[in-house]
Amino acid sequence: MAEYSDRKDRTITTRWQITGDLAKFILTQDLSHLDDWGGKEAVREVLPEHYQKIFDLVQTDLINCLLEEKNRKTAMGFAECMGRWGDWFHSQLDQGKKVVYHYFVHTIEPMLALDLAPICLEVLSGLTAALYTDGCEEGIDAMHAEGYPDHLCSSNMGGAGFLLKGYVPKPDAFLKGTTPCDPSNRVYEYLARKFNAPLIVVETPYYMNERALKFLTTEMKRMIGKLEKIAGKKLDEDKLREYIKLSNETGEYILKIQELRKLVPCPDTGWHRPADTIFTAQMGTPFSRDYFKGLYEIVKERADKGQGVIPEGKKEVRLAWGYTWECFDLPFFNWLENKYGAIYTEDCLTLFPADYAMIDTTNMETMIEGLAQRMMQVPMARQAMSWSDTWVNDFVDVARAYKVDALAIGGHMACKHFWALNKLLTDKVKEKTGVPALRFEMDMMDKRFTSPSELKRIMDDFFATF
Amino acid sequence: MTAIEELKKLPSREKNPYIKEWKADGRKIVGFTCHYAPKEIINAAGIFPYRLEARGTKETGLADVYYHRFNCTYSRCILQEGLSGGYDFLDGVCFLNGCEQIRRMYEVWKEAVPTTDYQYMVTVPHSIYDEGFEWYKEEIFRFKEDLMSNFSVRLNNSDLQSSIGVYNESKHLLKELYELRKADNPPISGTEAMKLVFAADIMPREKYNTLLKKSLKQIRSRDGIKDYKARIMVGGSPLDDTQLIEIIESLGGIVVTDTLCGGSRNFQEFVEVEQDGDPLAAIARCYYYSNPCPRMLGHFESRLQYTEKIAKEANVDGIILQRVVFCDNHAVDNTMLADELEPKGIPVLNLEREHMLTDVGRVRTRIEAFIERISRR
Repeated sequence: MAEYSDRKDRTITTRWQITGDLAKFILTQDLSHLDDWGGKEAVREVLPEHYQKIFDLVQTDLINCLLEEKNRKTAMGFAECMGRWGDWFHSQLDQGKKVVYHYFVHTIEPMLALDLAPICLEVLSGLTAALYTDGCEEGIDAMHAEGYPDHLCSSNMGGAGFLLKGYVPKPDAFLKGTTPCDPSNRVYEYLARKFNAPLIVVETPYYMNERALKFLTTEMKRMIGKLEKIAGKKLDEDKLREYIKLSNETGEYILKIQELRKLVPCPDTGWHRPADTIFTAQMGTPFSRDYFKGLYEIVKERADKGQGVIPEGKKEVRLAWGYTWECFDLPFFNWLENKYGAIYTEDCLTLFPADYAMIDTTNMETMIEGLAQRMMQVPMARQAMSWSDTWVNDFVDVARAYKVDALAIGGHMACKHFWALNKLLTDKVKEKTGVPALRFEMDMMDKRFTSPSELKRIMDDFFATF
Repeated sequence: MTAIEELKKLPSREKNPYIKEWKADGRKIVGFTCHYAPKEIINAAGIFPYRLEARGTKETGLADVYYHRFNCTYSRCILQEGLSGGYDFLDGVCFLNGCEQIRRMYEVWKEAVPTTDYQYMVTVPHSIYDEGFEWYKEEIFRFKEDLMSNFSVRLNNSDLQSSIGVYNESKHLLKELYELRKADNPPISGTEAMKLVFAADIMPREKYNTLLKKSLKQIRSRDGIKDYKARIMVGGSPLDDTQLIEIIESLGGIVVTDTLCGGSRNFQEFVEVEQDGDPLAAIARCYYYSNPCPRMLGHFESRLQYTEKIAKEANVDGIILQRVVFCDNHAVDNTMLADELEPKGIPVLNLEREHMLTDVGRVRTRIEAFIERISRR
């Protein structure tokens, strides 16, 4: 049995570790649905005691979704790597490494090379929302209790609230790229002041051109200088190269998977897509590489056999998520596959441009410029930080390359920049490709805003008219 | 009509007589959306810079086709005016990425407001430091070049110097106005004062300076206002009309100062061009380094200090930090400010509102309760 910490400030990360191990345990049982063994309560009774408490917290529908044959292997890979991440993070803490909470747009290789312990604030919210019945609402509510309104972004607020509650380690620093949004900037500013921790700001310019790249490269150098102060050491070129090689490798797998999703039938399942961001935020680590390598092998095997992921006899409906998805109900995407044959081609938050992956590791200069290039291209930031043309063109390309039948655009309530663009985006994609769009309101992390059952009702209505 | 009356009663947009007068001469008007717009440059090009506002806008039906209920009503009201023809008099708009909601208006305006021939986006970094300054300086240089090219105008350093002089004069006059408001018995109400302040950005500056100078003379000769319960400072989201201030003053408060971007933040620093220096760099320096806007990340301390300084100088009894619903920047900043100021003995009302103040009853009740709490008598 693994050793689990009972420290309060490791509440969330320990929960993830146990959940990973629990998932691996369940996935190795002869079980295709909890009802096979008499339902969740009955299964609980046969579980080892140390799993029972966490088992109670995990969403029942999620367990049943992962037990489906088509999802099992991916789920196993996910659970394995999630557990490894937890082990690694705790070992970093045990060694006294300094904790840097960072925004999702940052690549973490410089922090890894500086022996820091990076953790993405938004992943704290997202993964917790994805796994547990109570989601990250306790964190969100803790921020509301401090007086911060509900129109801020729950992806920042959940993690921020966990910090307030003391469920995650105290920060030694915060790292924040300035775009794409005001709510995140403000929450990081609040947290840095609240915890009296340095806030390292990386200015991400509005444009995607040579001038912007040059500026951002200088920003990366400035950032590294500040991180070096936190770490108390200089950035070692060889160590940075080692981590970038890992992230390059990871990027290659991501791009290969993207290519496979263009196939008809689509060989990849949808349930894991929002949760993949835990590993895109960890690019540079072996478990991120291993997760996407494993995923690639699963998807490739299916593609080689010409297999899809929808029930036999159903016609495949190819959906692209033109902006965000919800994290709190991953089985929703499985439900779409099973009920409507609707598969998940791409989305704005995990769509990597073709030139994303490779960073030239020749020397420090090429690596830093490559990191800047990546930061400009990181999904969502790429679309949201700049002119609308980038976003529109990306989804015109997606609509064509993935042979998309419809765009589903879940508008995260806090993303004011998206809501200011929602009509133009959908109109232009329709005008250029003929692909219609469904736009609806939701909150990525907080299921109290648009509930799972309401999401399904929206989809039922959509498919009734589609 | 006296100068003060003329400024107070100056209508906005198409009813504004200066717009007709300006256009009648074939001259151009360029709108701008944010404090970081380099007005001196537009003015130096012989173009009238007009701050986009939505005073009196009652509904957002057209804007809601493009924007959404999660966007603030300030941005939606401005867009509504653009879509409904309220800004047909503009020859161009200088957009900025002041906040996420306003910056996206560039895209929609370009698409859906065909009467505006020229649109330009100036981007401002979200943090204050030297490399950021260089970026902003280059942005406004590019804007200047584009403006000259588009409107076929020549613009040299002497034009810029002269325009800087006009705007610096405004700042001196506005400073004087705010100084008068600091008196124990201010000779002008907050409502009147803010009407004078708001007029600055919707009429030609030279004319404004003349009228404000005359107004100040009138104001200086007045008796002070004694009959008030509390001295109040207003901060938070942009205001473009005095409706909220009228409510505060109808309940016994007197608004004696503010930290608004269209108010006191407009004149804190002067554009200082060193001898043989670059006027454009001086403009950039002034806007970039001296505006404690909550969009700037990592600069809360300077905003807190600024708020305390302004409050102290005007001897306020309390601060009303208002914000338009869905304004993220001020939502967080106002709460952080309140958390820091209250323990220092500075009472704060954190007030949420819509741009067009549709729920006056609720707003009145909250302000009334606040004034009761801080009342001097």
